[in-house]
Amino acid sequence: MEKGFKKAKRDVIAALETGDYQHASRGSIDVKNLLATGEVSAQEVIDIIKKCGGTQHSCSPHHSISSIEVHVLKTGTWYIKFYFIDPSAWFISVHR
Amino acid sequence: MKLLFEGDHGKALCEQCQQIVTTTYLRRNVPFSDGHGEAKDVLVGVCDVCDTVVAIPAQSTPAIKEARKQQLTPIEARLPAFCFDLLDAAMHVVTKEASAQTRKLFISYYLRELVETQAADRLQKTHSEFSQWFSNQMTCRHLTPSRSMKRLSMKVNPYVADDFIVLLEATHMTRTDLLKSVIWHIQEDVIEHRNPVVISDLQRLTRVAM
Repeated sequence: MEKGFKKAKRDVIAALETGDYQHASRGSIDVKNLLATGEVSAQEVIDIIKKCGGTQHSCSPHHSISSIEVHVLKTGTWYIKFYFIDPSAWFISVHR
Repeated sequence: MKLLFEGDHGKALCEQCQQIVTTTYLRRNVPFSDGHGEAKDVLVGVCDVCDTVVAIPAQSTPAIKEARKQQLTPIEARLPAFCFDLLDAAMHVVTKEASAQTRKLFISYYLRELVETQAADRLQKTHSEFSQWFSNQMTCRHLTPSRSMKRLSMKVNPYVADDFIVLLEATHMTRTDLLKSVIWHIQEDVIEHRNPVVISDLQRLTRVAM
């Protein structure tokens, strides 16, 4: 789990730094994804993720496609949920 | 940033199809999930199988942010007609051009001010003081409280709507009681104390908003 966290953390930060990320949608713009709505910037999300430790991370298979791992970071203030479809990072939620 | 163009193809997870699908990037009007409006003509990834919007590229965020700012949220409450008298009297101290738009401006200004000063306790205290004062006035004047009510209805931008929600959550007051308390704050600052800083701020705002 710890190794998964380190790799996920490194990859999601790299995706945010290079702009290689998208937001998952179910036909609408999720207002709980503050990164998608521009209420927080990619740099702010990078700063939040950099401070995260392994205990703030959890990971589980996607409910419909078990080969995709869904990562969740809970900092107490922030809730960040994402997965990867190589090579991009996909954000489901970024909210307080 | 990875830039995408209309007609580009990609892949994404489609919740409708419950599989990884191929997508085509197109411009679409996409609603916000809370039902408040939509972002028009933004670049999104559309599932090639079911035609659902499944991907929102990072480059569409500025257009989404702008669209979100334009959405107006209603704040509505039925208040004693007396509250409107207080609010209108305060508006006429500040400007001779007061209108329904000025009411929204005053209340929005105070919501921001009360959030910035973390005044939840103050709002609750004001509400009980106001209720007590009103009750005393009725007793002293041998009057029964009027049942005349008026509807306050205003559409505000998401920032003001957020301030209203923050104060509702912090005070645990009803929308009606919160608005009554805000109006009482306005009455105290503008009519009773003639606070020059507040009056000057409101005059400036009213001038640019006209």
